[in-house]
Amino acid sequence: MSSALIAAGLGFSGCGDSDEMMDTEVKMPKYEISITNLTAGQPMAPAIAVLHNANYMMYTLGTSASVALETLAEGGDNSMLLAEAKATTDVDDAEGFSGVLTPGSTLSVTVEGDDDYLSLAGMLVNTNDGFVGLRSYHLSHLSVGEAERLELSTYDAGTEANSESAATVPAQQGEGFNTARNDANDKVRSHAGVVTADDGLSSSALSSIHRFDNPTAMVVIKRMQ
Amino acid sequence: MTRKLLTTALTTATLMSTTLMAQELEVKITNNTNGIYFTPLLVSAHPSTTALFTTGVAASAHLKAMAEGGDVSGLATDLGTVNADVMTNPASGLLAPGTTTMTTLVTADENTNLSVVAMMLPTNDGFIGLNNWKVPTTPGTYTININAYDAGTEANTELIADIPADPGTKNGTGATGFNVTAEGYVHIHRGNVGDSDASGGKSDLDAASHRWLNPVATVSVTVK
Repeated sequence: MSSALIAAGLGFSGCGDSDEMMDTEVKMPKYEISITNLTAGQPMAPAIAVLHNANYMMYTLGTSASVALETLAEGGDNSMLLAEAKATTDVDDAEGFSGVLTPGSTLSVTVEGDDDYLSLAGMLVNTNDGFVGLRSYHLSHLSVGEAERLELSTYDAGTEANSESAATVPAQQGEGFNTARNDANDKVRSHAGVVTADDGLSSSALSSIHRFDNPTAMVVIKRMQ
Repeated sequence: MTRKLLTTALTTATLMSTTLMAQELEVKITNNTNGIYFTPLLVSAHPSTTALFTTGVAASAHLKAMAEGGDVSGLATDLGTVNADVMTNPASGLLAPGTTTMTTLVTADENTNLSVVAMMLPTNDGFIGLNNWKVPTTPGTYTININAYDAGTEANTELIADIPADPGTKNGTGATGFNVTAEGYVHIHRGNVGDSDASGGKSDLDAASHRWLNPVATVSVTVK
């Protein structure tokens, strides 16, 4: 009786299938997130990738941006959004991209965890408060080794008037984040694009090269494990 | 009896593999723009390892020839070397704003992916691009929104002298042009700027006629 149990136990532990099952259970899902800047003249400040559950909302169209998102969208500073994401139990992993994403270039980060929603944001630096964004994209359909390509749109944080003046656009040596500055239409919305001096906005520090149409970025999400 | 069954089984297997090998595709292309014409289209089913362009990467000489001058012959030659199924010029000329053209492709089994390109007129080096799209194997009709790309090979001066033609003849002349350089890599086109001055200004293009927003075209693929 006891020897039969031992034999059964050995047989079970020696079985290759169950070993594989245990490995699968132990390994956290891991995703490689690659972002490509599709614009002609809009470098993107260091972007952020957040792997989270259904409760976390990086931003919501039609409502006010958080101060952390405003900081990212007006000044290109992702640190507050990153710190807030890391501090909540609704987020498994939050990573900043390693640097400025210049037009035409690609950068990658990996995020790891059981949560299966992805959000991304990065400022278009030749705007007042424009950012490329992906909000709460569900990843549960991706199996290991599978990759998916998404095209991202551009949003306006709604926290700063789009004057396009040199004094207010970070890449034109202007001021970045200023929480008090003209939050007159304080709602996150689709960005209408920049007008530029070439199209008759005489106060604009921008020119035709800074204009953009959606999509402004391409993201490839690959599930690694 | 056994032999007859075996023969029947083999015949069925042959028929099935034939259906899997060749896909019949009906491809409809619609120009969604207000005043932009598409030069003769290139429609091709090809292996997934082939791409006519990659965003963020410099255009090939043949992509440049298509995007700057509407000449798809070089790209068709490139596709021929990988045994792609290629259809050029289904509209028998330009595809005008608001119009649709249709073509059919019977694809070889390794030609699993579809690409469609054509230059946009009037632009310096703008083109519509469906790039290496994996054709579903399930019969049905699939609709894809198509973006405008910039080949990055020519500065977007918007001078009519740098553009083959405006088929809609809404262009002006005598502009100074935009002081820009070629971007150097394929990317999403920022759009024409244009102006409202037909005999001067910064652009020879007309702001009211020649702007667009993505998607600039719709491709509808019916898998038979």
